[in-house]
Amino acid sequence: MKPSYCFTVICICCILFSLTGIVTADSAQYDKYVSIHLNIDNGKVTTESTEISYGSAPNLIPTQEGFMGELVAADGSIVKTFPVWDPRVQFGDAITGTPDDPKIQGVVVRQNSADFVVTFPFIREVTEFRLNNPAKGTLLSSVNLKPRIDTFFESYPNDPDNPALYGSKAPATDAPPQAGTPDSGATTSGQFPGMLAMASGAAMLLVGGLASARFLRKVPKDILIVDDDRDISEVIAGMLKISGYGSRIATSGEECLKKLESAVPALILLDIGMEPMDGWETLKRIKKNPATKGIPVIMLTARKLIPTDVEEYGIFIEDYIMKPVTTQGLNDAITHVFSRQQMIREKIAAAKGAAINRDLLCEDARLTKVVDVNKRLWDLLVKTYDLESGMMLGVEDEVSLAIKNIEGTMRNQEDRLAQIQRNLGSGIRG
Amino acid sequence: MNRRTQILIIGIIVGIGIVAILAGIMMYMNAGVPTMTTPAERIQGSPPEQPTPGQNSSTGIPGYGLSLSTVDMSTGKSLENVSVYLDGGYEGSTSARGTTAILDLNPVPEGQHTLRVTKSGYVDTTQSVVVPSASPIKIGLYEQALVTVQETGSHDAKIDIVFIPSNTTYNCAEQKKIGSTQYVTDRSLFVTDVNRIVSKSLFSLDSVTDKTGPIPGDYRDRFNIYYYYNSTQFADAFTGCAGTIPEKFWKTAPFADIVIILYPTYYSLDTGAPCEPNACVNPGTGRSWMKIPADQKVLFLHESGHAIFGLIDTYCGGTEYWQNEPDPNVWSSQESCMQDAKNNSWDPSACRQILQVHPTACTKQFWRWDPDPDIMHDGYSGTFGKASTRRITYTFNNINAWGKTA
Repeated sequence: MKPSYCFTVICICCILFSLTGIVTADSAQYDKYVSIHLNIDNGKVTTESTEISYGSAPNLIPTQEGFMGELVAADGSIVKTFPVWDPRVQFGDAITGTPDDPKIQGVVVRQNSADFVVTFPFIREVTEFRLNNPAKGTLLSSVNLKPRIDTFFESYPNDPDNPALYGSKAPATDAPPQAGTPDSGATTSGQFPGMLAMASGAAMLLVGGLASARFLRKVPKDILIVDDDRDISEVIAGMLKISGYGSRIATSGEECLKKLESAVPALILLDIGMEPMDGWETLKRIKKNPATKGIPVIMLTARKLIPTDVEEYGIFIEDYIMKPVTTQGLNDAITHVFSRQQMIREKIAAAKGAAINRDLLCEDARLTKVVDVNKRLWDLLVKTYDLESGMMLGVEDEVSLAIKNIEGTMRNQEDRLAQIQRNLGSGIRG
Repeated sequence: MNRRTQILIIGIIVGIGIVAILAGIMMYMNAGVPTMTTPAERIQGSPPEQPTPGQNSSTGIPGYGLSLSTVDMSTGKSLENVSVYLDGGYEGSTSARGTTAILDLNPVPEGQHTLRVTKSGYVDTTQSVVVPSASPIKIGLYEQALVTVQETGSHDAKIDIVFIPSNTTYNCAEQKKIGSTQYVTDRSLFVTDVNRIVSKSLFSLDSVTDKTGPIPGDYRDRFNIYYYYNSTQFADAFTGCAGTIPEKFWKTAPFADIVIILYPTYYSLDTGAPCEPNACVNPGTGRSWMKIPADQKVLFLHESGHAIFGLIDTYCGGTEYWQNEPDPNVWSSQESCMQDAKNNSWDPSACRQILQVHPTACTKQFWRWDPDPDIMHDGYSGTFGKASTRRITYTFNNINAWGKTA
């Protein structure tokens, strides 16, 4: 197994181990609230009881008429003020009138005495609650919370809000450890698996990133341009660059064969009119060499295509492009070759899963290419010699005949291809 | 390996990596406060020569092994993922070990300790234990009577509304409170009424508020909504103006911003002698509640205007008036009403005194701006005008009035 696979497997194992902690990891809740039970009777307020409990206090209604509550710190500073509704007053609405014509009528119930509860969140620094009557400027009640706080933390000494915990260790100016916030220096049941999961996840992303860079990076296909005219080669190289291809240049058939020994390109653009070894000879040698015979070759030349070339070399080439060529024309021809190559690969891949006759499959692949190339060459011959317009010179009567022969051969190949594909069945048809 | 397979494998690796990082962050954030370091004086107080049956790995304090198992008291089955606190410090949560949900605590020092166990949907349970103790300790949890209808966030950040059923109603024709068995015998009827009130009234606020200065588009998500149904504990909508709520309720839902006592229907109209109010509010600080009939969806909005948004009645009658700053819908002078209107590019001439000529003359030294039909004026029809809508928006934007960090 490759090291990268081992690394991936280790990471996945770490993640699975860590993720098992998700269901067990729980969030620690240290919210507490203070509820003070009071009674007001003829304007006098007495404290019935004070409780500190685990849980959340309600939020405040934005504004209320009546009294004002104050939360006071040990040094006498006011931590928070908030309105407290006069508990002796309740108000409501009665629907009166008739069912067809209802009216609303206000109801206010005022009592001399009432029990009520003021509830607010537990805040570390708060040690006193005061209830004021702002209308009269009087203090109605003052409740010292300290005894109840001490009692509470006697039962829950490990609560992080216990002043004995955060007060004895940190100077007053230091922020005490906050409830619900993991402490960097301590251990928890959920922290380590969490960090492990994060580390593993980061490692997986790294592996993914490296693998993407290694495997998914779009490497431009390398095309070898073989032409004895270096200027033309460089122009073509520029065109290829625009189309997203990389290129190398060989200025002779010999140099081409030499370059093929060092690296195999995705395609060869081969000029015919070179010396001493011309393009056709170069092509023959490329196709003779088992290491290079699979490289698609497009003939790129100023020479007029002749039927005998088609008959002799048609099977070895992928296309035949006449100079001068445009970027678009060059790109179309190359794209066509690569698309056909891909289609044949996919057909073969699809056939691998089925019980298909291997010889038939090879013949199908070969004929698919040959028929396609021959069609393109035939088209080119027809255009070159203007057969369709009927303006053939006498010397080209032979050409016409040769083209007709090619046409016949091509038709036979097409028939054979159709027959093979029928035999292979629809499973591999592209 | 073809390119498609490569892409697939890399995609899986990256996907798992992202999931793992997110999960790791969740776990880290959820890890909570660690086992707290015990103060130095407590360590010194431990007799060093005493035999040490075990040692807490994080504190170094000698102690005894202690395990805790948790069960659902209604089914008797083990209950996993129960958070365990020893003396107020988080220890972890129980997890399945065979057929038992168990947590092994770090070695616990000899002596008396308090164990608190919590799980969402269950009543918090506290138990004293003297160490060394037989282990594991079995703690049972009871299901809460509180049921979540919608929970969109923490109690600090949302308006927490809890519905509770009433086992009484009122017959105005006979001028007396009567028992109501509808919700007592039919929980599903209560749940249906809760859902209808929420969907038809509370969640229709956008359709009855001003469109030119609309309430937040996500206003529905700014509520947490629950109902409390305990077959032995009902509210009484007709003892006192706003009704009464069982004391035990407040232990279960201390966070409730407003408790709504729902009763099925109010019998007969108040045509003669004054009856009990159909709806009433007790806007307490900490314990705030109101009562409302389940069949009055516009009246529900009117009362919610009082209880949730602090809006003031705009009709003239025997009700409470004050200038409900900030963003009031009632002003204590015509000048302040007109100035506020100008500041908001509203028509100042729409400021008008709260008064009534027919059937009885009534005048209040307060002014209103919202045009009729105004829900805070009528109670059974209308919409919330610009001023009321502004106030509602203010409330939605200032829920976390204690300023607690989420």
